[in-house]
Amino acid sequence: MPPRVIKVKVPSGAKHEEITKAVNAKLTRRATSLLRKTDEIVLSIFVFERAQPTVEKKAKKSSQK
Amino acid sequence: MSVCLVTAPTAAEFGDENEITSEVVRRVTLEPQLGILSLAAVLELRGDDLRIVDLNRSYFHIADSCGTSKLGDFAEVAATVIAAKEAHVYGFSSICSSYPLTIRIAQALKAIRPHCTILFGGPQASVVDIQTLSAFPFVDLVLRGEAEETLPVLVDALMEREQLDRVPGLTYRSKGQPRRTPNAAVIKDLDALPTPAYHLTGELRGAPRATLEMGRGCPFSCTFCSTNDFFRRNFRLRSPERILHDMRSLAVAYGVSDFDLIHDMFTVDKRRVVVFCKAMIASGEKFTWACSARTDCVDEELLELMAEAGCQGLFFGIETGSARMQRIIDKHLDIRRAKEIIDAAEQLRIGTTVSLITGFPEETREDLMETVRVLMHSARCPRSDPQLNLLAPLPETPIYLKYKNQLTLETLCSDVSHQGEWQSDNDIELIRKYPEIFPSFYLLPTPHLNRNLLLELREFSLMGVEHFRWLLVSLDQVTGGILDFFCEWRQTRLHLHPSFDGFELRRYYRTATFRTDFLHFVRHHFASKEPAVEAFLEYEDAIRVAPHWDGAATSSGTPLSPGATLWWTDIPVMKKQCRVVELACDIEEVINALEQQTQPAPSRGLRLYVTREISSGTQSLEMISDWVAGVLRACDGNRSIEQVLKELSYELQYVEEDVREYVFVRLLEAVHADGFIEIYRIDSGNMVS
Repeated sequence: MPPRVIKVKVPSGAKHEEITKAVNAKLTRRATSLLRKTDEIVLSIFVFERAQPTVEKKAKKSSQK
Repeated sequence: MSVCLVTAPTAAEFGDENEITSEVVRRVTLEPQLGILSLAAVLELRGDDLRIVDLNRSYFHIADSCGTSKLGDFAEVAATVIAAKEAHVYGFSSICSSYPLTIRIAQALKAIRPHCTILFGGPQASVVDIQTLSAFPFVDLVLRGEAEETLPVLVDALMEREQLDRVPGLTYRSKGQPRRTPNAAVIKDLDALPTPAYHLTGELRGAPRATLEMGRGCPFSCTFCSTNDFFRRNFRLRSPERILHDMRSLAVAYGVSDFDLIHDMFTVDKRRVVVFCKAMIASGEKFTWACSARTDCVDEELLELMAEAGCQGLFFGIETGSARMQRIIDKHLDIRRAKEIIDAAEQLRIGTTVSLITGFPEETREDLMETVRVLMHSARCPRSDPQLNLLAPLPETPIYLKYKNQLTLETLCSDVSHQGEWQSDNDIELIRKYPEIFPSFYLLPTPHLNRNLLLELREFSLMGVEHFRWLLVSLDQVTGGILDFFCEWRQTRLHLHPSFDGFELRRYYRTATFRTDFLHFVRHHFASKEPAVEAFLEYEDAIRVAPHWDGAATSSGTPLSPGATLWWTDIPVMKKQCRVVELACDIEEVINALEQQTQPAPSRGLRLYVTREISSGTQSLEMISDWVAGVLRACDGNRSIEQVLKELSYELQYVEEDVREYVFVRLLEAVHADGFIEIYRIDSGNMVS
């Protein structure tokens, strides 16, 4: 039996524009600055080492120190 | 004469199963060790017969292939691996945290190859050279300080069987007694050194970033820091041209475009930082980089230029928030100005690490409170990561020399020396026997502060900021400060788990039990009635109860790419780690208020959010519409697209029926393209027509 491919009827003209606008509005997302951390191991880094861009987990003891 | 260089086994401080498999532990410990690779490059250029052993890689190889139970005798296993390289000279790099293990590996190696020469170098051995040779007869030589120029001299001397007393910076035995030759001169022209031999170890393959040495030497003399013992106070920088050349080479060879520029204090000379930044900008390259800086060696104008030149991360060692302690430790930072600089970096979207130290003998509760205030100032900046570390008395530092007769050995020590959940009994035995060689594993007296409280504060602040940053910020704002709040929490923790101590306490703070206990404590605290605190408690509750799917129901299906033609029988499922949560407040408005240290405006009303993983161990939160939330919730992995549409008919009932399918499919395709859901095609044999 052939698969039932999804084919939907696309609204035409002004109605299509109106619906597209409504759907796009519903798809708009707003990022927050709240990050949820799930790591159970967090390491410190030290002055003789380095810094990294935020979000990255970071840590190490320098090979030089 | 063949030489085998051996890296410091820094991974070995992590021995528990969850640590060994931790992505962050792997990434951090498998980064190239620049010191040994720089020496390797020098010997390779001379055409010396060179081998290299990366002990961290060996460590994980054994853990992965034989299990963590084999790691208990890693010294023996490592010695076997090293001995197989069959060299005349074995040169060990050393740092404080892994020095006991390095000693034991060298001992085991000497037993296998009694006629080889065991050579130590690196920051730790350089400062405890005499003590090391006195205590451990199997260690033959210590080459102190920067060794790119002295190691070839030593190798030649060993090859020609010449007198060792002509090798600068060497500690050796003469008539059974350790003797030092004069220190070698510092290497003035760092551009003359070859690029570290990254190709000899495999760490950079597929790595997100590379480390590059920016320069050496720090002119400051903080009492707790040992950098001057190794790199001296002679400040040196590699030229911008050379740094750019190495960046380009690494970009071509390994595809990296993000760099950690290693220097204890790159920003000492503002003019040279400006020259570097202008060269980066003029190059047209889009490299990004991070470095260390003092808050009194940068200003807003310089930070702006650094950001334009690709700077994305700064490490600020602020150490203490107390002006009195700043003077005592010879750091002399203006704390008000330090906070302004953290804020300026935040404005420029430069991430910062704000490093603080507690455990100074002179430190009082008022000093500690000031330090915790800086910690919370950092926590209030989303791009800033604060960390509170215990003081480690590094050998030969002024603070060590002052208090070396008052060292105390506890189960937990400074995180500089050990961050793992486990420590080898053999290492502990060495540390106990030789405090003068391993002082960084000890703690100094803290007559004005409860040391157990400090040890716990470190674990609490590290994990607390990681998991509950904004909750802690809100508690800090609405109570008398997070230090007092922590003390209250600690009383509850002591009641709940009175026996927890040492590594057990560290493990506890890494578990969900801590997070559950702490949230329970906050919920029953009077501060929980404050709107900001209430908002984050509500968020935690919403996350806890929100359903999420692990995709198990559809594991037998084939995932479809966004844009693929869909069938009504395909199974959509919200991605693992994604959760839809409802909150009665606008969480971003609350965060904005906390950043400004104001009260959040009352703004109640249902808001819908979705979490998703943006990098390993980090999930973002995004506000979404009711329609998208409805789609995501319905995609539970147990229903076909056709069934999901039926489920959603209520959500979309105010959409006209003749376009409902069109609207729904548009939404589904969009959330698929945005990465919130997977769509699986189950074996067509099971397809329902």
